[in-house]
Amino acid sequence: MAKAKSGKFNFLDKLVTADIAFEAFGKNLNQLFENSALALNEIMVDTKTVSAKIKKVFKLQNAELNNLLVDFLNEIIYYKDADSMLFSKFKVKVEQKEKLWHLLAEIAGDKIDWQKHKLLADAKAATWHIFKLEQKKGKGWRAQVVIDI
Amino acid sequence: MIQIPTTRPPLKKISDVCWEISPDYKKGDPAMQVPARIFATEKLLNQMDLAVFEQISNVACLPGIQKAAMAMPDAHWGYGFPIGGVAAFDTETGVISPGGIGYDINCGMRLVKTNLTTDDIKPKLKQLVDHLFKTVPAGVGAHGFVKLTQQQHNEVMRDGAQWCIKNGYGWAEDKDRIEDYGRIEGADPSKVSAKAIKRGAPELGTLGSGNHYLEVQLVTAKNIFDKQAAKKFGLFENQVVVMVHCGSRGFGHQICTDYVDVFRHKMAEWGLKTRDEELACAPFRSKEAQNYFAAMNCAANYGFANRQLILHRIREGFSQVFGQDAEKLGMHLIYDVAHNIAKVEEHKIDGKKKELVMHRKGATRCFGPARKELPKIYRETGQPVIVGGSMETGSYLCVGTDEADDLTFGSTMHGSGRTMSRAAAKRQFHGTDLQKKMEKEGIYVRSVSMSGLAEEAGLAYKDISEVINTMDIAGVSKKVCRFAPIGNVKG
Repeated sequence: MAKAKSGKFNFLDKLVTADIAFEAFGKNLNQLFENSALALNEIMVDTKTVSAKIKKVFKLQNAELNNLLVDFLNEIIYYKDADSMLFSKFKVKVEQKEKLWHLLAEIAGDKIDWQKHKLLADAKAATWHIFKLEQKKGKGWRAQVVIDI
Repeated sequence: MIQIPTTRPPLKKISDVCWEISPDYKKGDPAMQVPARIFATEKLLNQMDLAVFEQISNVACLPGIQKAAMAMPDAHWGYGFPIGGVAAFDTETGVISPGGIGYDINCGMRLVKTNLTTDDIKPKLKQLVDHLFKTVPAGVGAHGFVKLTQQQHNEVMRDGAQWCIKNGYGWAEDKDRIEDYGRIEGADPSKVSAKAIKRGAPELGTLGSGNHYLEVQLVTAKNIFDKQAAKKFGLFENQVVVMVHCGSRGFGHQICTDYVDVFRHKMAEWGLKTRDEELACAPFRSKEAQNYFAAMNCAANYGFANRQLILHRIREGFSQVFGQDAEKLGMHLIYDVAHNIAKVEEHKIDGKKKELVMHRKGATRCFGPARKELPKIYRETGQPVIVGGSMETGSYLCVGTDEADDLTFGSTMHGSGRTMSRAAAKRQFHGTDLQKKMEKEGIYVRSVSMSGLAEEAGLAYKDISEVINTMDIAGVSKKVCRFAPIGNVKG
């Protein structure tokens, strides 16, 4: 787990013992999701060591915004195991159409190579434990997520 | 959402090692159905996260819970249930909750003995650990050495460790030395998502990271507590043993993620209310619960298979380094236990036998000699209970007792339990320095991640002896032997 990126996210080490919690920020939802994805990857690897070589594009939708963020993070964890990939660049578009929240993500990273990448902890899942997603008046968005390690 | 408590609820002392929170503690909706019981010495009780008391009281509010919600002495806070949580639910009126099992379904421990001694291992320890570090894949996203077809993956889901034994990755006798003979009935691959399969297939035979490890350990003279039992397990002074801690990798994690999502959206329809979102659950007889249980059993079988493949690699590694067959090196499995699992078991409630859905999350089954589930070889001693400590302080072998049935539904601790957060451990310890310090102390460790190594420093954990003694005094599991670490492979 590298040092928190100022303004993008912080690790909240007083909230959990065996796992890792972070808070992420964004002036809008797109940025909040991007910074949450960066925080998640920083738990697993020093993202500075991961070049944005391979791109993944995917869509998700959910009736609940909370659920969309949890699903999005779990999707990235899925690629880590299924495709052996970690990511360092994130572009996310989140919008509400009719009653559903839609997400379009373009994320880029590299195949895991433990000699090249500074690997840290393996994430099992994004959980609902003390989960928060909130809009701060005039200050944009904040999410609080615990990742099971 | 659970509120982080600032005070401990009132506790009634039941014995020196058992404390109770009255059902009056939570009267609202939902209210506590039964008391919550915490097994701990006063010292451990004072060290326990305050959230453990809150979480175990929340578990006591779940429908159909029997007798008491219980926290083991190594408890610390988890999702929904604390890690070290035990709960039994009526199969007709109760629920199943993935939060009571954990994301890493059938995370567990495996203990293998050898006929090697301290003198045999010392000159070859580094070579052995380096070899195992190369051949047992570990760390973030590591892939295994067995490439499975879809058909074979289905067989692993159904047959667990028995698939491995049939396919040359084990000895016939291994079967009797694994909980549930390494194969749990009722696993149905059709209830597992394509995502879980895609995540899990490449990872079979890998350790993972976090607190997962493979450790070479020694039995030392002063650490044999029950000479008779140790002899029956084939343990002797200065003997080398190997311990493995890992689970069902991304496969189990995905199954948990999938079904927490299913249950969360159906709770209102079922009229179920919980005090914490991570306690999402389903009536055990509902279709969704049965689907989860069938998928969870696939992950449990995968977990047994995962540890079986790792054992195969360990036997190969020892054989290569010592130039002898694993059989000649006496590399018999002592036992393999699951410590994140739900099972249907019979236990007595108010003197009558009842079918229950047992949840053990960070808790080990510890059946006594009388239980029919045990293989013949352990019907005299009781079930071996393997308890992993931190990589610096050592681990234990205990045995289950018949009294445990009544006290804890035949359940005990699973480890030493963390007291320090991962971030705090990293502030206090540095991976490379720790590695050097451990080497000076006679423990040779290899890790994919130096920062991950710092997180697992011995001081980040509770005193394992205090944890073990708690359940020994309680009469739940009796200590047999303590093992000292000398070599460690960490993810």
